[in-house]
Amino acid sequence: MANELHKPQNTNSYFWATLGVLHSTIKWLVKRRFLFFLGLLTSILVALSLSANHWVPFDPEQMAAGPRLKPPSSSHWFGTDEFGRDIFSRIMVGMRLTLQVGFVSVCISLSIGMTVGLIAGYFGGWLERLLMRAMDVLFSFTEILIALALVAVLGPSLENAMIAIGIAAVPFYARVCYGAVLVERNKPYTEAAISIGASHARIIFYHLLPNVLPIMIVVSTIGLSNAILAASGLSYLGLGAQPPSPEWGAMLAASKNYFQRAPSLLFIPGLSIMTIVLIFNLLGDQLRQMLDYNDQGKHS
Amino acid sequence: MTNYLVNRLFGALLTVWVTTLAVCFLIHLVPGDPVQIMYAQSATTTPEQLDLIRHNLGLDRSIIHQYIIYMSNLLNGDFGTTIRGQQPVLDLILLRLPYTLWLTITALIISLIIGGVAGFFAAYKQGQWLDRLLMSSTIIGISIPPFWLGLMLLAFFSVNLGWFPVAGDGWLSLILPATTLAACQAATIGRIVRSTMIDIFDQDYIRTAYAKGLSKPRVLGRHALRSGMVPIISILGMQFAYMMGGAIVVEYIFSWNGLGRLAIQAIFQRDYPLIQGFILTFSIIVVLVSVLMDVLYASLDPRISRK
Repeated sequence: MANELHKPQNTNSYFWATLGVLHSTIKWLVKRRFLFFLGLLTSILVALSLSANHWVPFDPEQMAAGPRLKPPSSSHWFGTDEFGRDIFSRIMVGMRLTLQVGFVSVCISLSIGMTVGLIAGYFGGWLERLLMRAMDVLFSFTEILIALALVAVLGPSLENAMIAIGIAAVPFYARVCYGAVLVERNKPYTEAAISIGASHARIIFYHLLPNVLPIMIVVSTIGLSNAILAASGLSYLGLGAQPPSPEWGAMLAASKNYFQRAPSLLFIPGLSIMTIVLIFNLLGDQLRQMLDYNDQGKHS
Repeated sequence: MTNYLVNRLFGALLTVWVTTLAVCFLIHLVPGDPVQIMYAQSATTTPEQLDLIRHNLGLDRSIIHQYIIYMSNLLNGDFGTTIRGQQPVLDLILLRLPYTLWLTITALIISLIIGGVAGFFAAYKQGQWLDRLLMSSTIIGISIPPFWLGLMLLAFFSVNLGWFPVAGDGWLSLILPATTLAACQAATIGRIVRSTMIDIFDQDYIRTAYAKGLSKPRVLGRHALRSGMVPIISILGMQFAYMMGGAIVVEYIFSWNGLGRLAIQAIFQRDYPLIQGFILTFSIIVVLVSVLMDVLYASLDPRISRK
């Protein structure tokens, strides 16, 4: 009898149930259409940049692909640079470098920062004081100084810039993660897990990690734009990617002496950096808004 | 208050001490032989000369011994001599430092004015078109690469219009670099001011002030703005540090004769004593300013130091 109550009365209700799920999904998509749009845009850009080598009209490092320093035209969409290289092809291939730099640096800062934050927040005691004091000290150096010092030691290259930027941002990620862990650690579910005798690893990986992940994703999205800005800045200074590379900051540095004859050399790489950074900033902003909304216990 | 002060000063000293450690051992992290890398450009140096240099830099002694020598030199005001030119590092740094401070402080003032006004009006018109316009501009502001903005300003105002000199260290040459440095920070400050002011507009005492029949300018100017200043001061230390960092790139673009440009040249020339001196000076200044700001903040808002 009780069992029958839970059975759908007829096949029609499957239809209504499916429709209900579909309806709420569509409602969610409409409500979060800007987030959806940004996500779609990011996926498209990632796909375009990963396959850039296969579809760009010219080899990005091919000299004299066209006349030198020409304004945008139908054969060279963004014009050509001082060696006659096609700027459109270079920008598209450079986008992969940009996204790669951002991704790798964020992975470095996220993995080290989260480890530090989880350990300090969960175990507490002298470990917490030691780790967080160390993070405070690193934090007060400011990211750019740490990155510059590391590049000075490791030598200028894009790989070293990635590592330097990743390490420089660790204290920030550690602080955010630590704060989030402290909040979660004092909630009843963690206490319950401790009291039934769950192991440290189990509590950290099954209970704390999933709950600090959302905020870390938001931080990483915004961190992505900071890493991209920092890397292109280092490349501009000549401390990151080196000249033949189509990295956007390096392209800007190379355009210094030619921008009066070909303004697109100055506009396009800068606009590209700004667009990518803007997309990730907006994405982070949207994700944070979504997170705040759910934090208040409401459902979207 | 004393407790807070002691704790804060301890943190500051710890940071400076860690910097001296990091800076002293920095040279050992260099892959390969640092002395050979430093002198790579001058092929005529003989192995005997390299040994002499290594000895002069103290690199042939044990690490602990090196650190003790380095520290005692530092405490005597000896930051070492540069590899290129054999000048005292400290003299060179003190020569360039005022330019960087000048640029940073001007930029900080500009960004506080722009960010403060924008944030205040955005909060005042919260949710309306002005708020949305200002907040959209701040998100664009934090997305603009500062070095690109600097390049564009330089290309347009200095090269095309000729309003400002392309390089130099006079008042007129200060305007563009300070604006570049201020623009990106103004966006951050604007966002912080906005959220601070929104919090304050919701407070009971603001409602009370209106209920007393005070005029709007008086409530905003005397009640809201004054208490809004306190949280803003707490971020000034951090903002100053960001500005110092940003100045490195901006100085390079505008050929501004500051510390940052010196540091970049030093990195290119692999002039390690100069790099060490730069890192140390930079972190001492940043730490000093942040302690000062925290103390100011704590004395303005007694709740902080009693926590």
